[in-house]
Amino acid sequence: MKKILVLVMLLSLVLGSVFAQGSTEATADSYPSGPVSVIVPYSAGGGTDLVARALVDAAKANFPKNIAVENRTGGGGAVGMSYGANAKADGSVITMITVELVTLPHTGTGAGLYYDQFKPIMLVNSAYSAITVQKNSPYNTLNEFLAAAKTKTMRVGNSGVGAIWHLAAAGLAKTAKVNFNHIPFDGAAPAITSLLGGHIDAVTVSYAEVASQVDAGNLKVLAVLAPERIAATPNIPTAKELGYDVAIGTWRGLGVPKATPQPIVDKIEKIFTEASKSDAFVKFMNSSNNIIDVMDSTSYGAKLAKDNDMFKALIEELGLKQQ
Amino acid sequence: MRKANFIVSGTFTLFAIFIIAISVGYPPSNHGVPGPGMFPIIIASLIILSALTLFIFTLRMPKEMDSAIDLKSKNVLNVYITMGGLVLYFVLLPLVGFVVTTSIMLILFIKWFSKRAWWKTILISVLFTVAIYLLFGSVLNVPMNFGLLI
Amino acid sequence: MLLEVLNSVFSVQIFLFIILGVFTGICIGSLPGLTATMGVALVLPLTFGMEATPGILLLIGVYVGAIYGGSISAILLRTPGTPAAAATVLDGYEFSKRGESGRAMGISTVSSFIGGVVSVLALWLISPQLAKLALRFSAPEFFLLAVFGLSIIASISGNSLAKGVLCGGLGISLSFIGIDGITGYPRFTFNNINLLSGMSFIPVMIGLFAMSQAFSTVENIFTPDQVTQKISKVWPSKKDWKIILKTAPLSGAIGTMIGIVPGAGAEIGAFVSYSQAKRSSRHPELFGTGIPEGISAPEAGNNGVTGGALIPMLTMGVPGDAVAAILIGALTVQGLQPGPLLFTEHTTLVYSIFLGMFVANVTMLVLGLSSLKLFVKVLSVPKAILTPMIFVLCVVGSYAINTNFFDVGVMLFFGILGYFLQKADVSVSPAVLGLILGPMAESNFRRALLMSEGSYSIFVASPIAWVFVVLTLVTLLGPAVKERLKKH
Repeated sequence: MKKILVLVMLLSLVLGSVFAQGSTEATADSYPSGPVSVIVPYSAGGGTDLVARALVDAAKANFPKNIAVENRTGGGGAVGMSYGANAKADGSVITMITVELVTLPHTGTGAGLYYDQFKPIMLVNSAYSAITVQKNSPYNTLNEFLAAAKTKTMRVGNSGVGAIWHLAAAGLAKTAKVNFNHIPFDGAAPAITSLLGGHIDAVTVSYAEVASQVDAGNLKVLAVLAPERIAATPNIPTAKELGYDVAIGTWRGLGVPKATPQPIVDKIEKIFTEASKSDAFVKFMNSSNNIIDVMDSTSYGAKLAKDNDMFKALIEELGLKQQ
Repeated sequence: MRKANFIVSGTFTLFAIFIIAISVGYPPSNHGVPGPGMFPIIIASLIILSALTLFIFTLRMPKEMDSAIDLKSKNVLNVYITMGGLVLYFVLLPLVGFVVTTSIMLILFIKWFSKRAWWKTILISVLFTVAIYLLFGSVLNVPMNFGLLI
Repeated sequence: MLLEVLNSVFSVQIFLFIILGVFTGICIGSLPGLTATMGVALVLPLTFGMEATPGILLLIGVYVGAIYGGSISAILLRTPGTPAAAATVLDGYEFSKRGESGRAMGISTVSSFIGGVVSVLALWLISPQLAKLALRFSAPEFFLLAVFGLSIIASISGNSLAKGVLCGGLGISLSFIGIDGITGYPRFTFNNINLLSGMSFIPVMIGLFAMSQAFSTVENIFTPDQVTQKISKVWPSKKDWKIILKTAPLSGAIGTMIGIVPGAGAEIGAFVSYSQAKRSSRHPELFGTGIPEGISAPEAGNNGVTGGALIPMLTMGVPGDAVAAILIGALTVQGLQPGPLLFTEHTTLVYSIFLGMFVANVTMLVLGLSSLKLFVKVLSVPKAILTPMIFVLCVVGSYAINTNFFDVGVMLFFGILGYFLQKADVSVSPAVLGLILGPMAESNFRRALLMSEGSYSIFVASPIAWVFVVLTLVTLLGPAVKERLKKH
């Protein structure tokens, strides 16, 4: 017992000395002065994780003291993003922030998360909802589909209740003044499988997620809920062109805690903007059907605020707010 | 074993009542689709039913099938101390850091359990801790640097 | 074309990658907390710069190796290295208690190999026909599959069915925690952010199996080790071979079928195979006491899933389990689209995968048998030193899965609970099964009613649904009927 006591006392001595040291102020010139971690709020091997790893790989040369991706999963992204928002504000922790940052707080499952806890650095990529049906479905245009939805209840699959593709379907239904029977699945893949098996009528996930089945001739895309046509699929009309002014999609970007000094934010922005233009990253994004959509800190900040208002209104209207 | 069975069936019944008490406040079914409270209530009822079955079977269990369960002997007390030590370890781990806390935990347990010489105990503990730290931290990319020290 | 395939697989480079993959997989799989899915995800970035064939085969090697590797720690330490090995604990650890861990691991290695080969053959020969099965599964079929799976609780309950159901109920109840998948309503979260996404399965499993066992060991920590491990024989004896050959091929086929079903992974394949072997056995009462069938069935079953999961993936671009989903990502990065076009446009690649997967299974057999003695050495470490080390492995394993300390707390809690449950003679396996299958049953039950707008007839609308209803009834009533027939 005595020995344990001695150990405990030794331990507290060491602890005290570390506390006393305090932290040294980081500056833009010396950044990165230590190892940097990039928080991915979703599991390893997923879409967000792969994009983060490819981007970090392209930027690696600028981090001599090592940069590593950390997956902190849980709460539909809330756990990882909360961790990143409350990390040390010296640029040593950069967070991959996603659209859930502006949807989770309004569904009541964000656990205190709010978009203004982050200083946005840059938007990296975006993906918009693609209204997709089976190849042999009787509907060949979005108008036909929505007209039929007025008399028949369409079963529309999404990647989870309150998730972005659910909101996309709900946003379309609201604009077109129809009602869908929203069927939530655990992720996009099971929803697409269910559509392939003919158990549901449509899915509203991103184009990248259905691309292989569209190429194989099993599914067809009626329209995309994007502001303008997607470069990879110039033949698919947007809902806006067809008279339904709705554009909903997911995006991924980088953020640091609010209190991070501006010079460091600028330095990180510069490093990752260069990385996003590198050949390796561009090649990876193209081959994995991801659309690069770079936006600088200021316009990304404006997009965050705008999307936050839009989803707040939509989620409230849908009655998806819990508790 | 009789006593243990009664405790098991009692604890599980309380657990099930707790589930039901919370789930009845959940939103109701909607257009024939069960709400979030329905499954918890069904499963909790099933638990109560099994707990009752266990209770009745134990009541009717012949005396000679009964066997004592050891919860108070010296050996079991050691287990309780171990549990306490690990809870303390769990509390200190994120604050202090992996290598230091884990080495100390291992040193104390191995010394206590095996009565080996101090230097051997310390050597084994530190080597194992560092090996795990490097394996998970460097090879498998699990972030192992938390806390104030390493 | 055959030459091309042979050429592309039988090169030194590919062989090396397969061996490297299987070896990495076995190591990752044997460490608690690191699952096959995580292993494949960890290796995935390495393949970005590689050619398609070696890249995919490296990943498949990791997959095959990890599913097998989980059994090593399950047998030696009562710690399933991956969830797929949760069923192997039941009989596997009993062998180690008797000092026969070498024999148990030999059976496990050979059975895993047979299960894997059966699934590769199915993948090779009849995948287009089997693939269609995956699309026939919708919410009602998934629900009935989960109910069938839960009925297995009856066969893994140990001495008391009532206690088994209690523990299964506990597992299902744990799965309620978190945001409800159908309505988005947070259940039993008590405003704790760590509970929003639900209980992590791995920490609960490590706690219930490994930690509780370590606590029990502490009881007798001061009495010297009595059991010495016999490791002279690694190759199964003639008698064991007879049993393996009777059990493993069928279990492998069951695993393959489970693998095809999207969302049903190796852990379910192992439990279903175990239950089937027990049901058809002439001495079901011996299951759980450490008999060869009890290892052979789940190990062949979980490795059977590996090939099965690739069937819908390669033929239709539909992932059969979480690992297959990552493999789809790996192929996509290579500029290949898994799906019907893959077979016609990249025939060589597809057949190279088949052949490579066979090679991976052979590698697993060779590596497994040759390194077996090394693994058994773990048990020659005195328990007074080994037990504290297991504490560390349990803690690091449950932390690694989500890098969240909350999970370590969960593991400790269930370790303590598991210790007392063990004292009260309550088998903890049903809790693990409930935790896996509870969410599958609940969400699909409600999703089915959402799709049918409240009509219950959807549950008996397809032949697959009926198959599972019958299977469930056989599992629940089978033993009783058998007893009756015996008496007459």
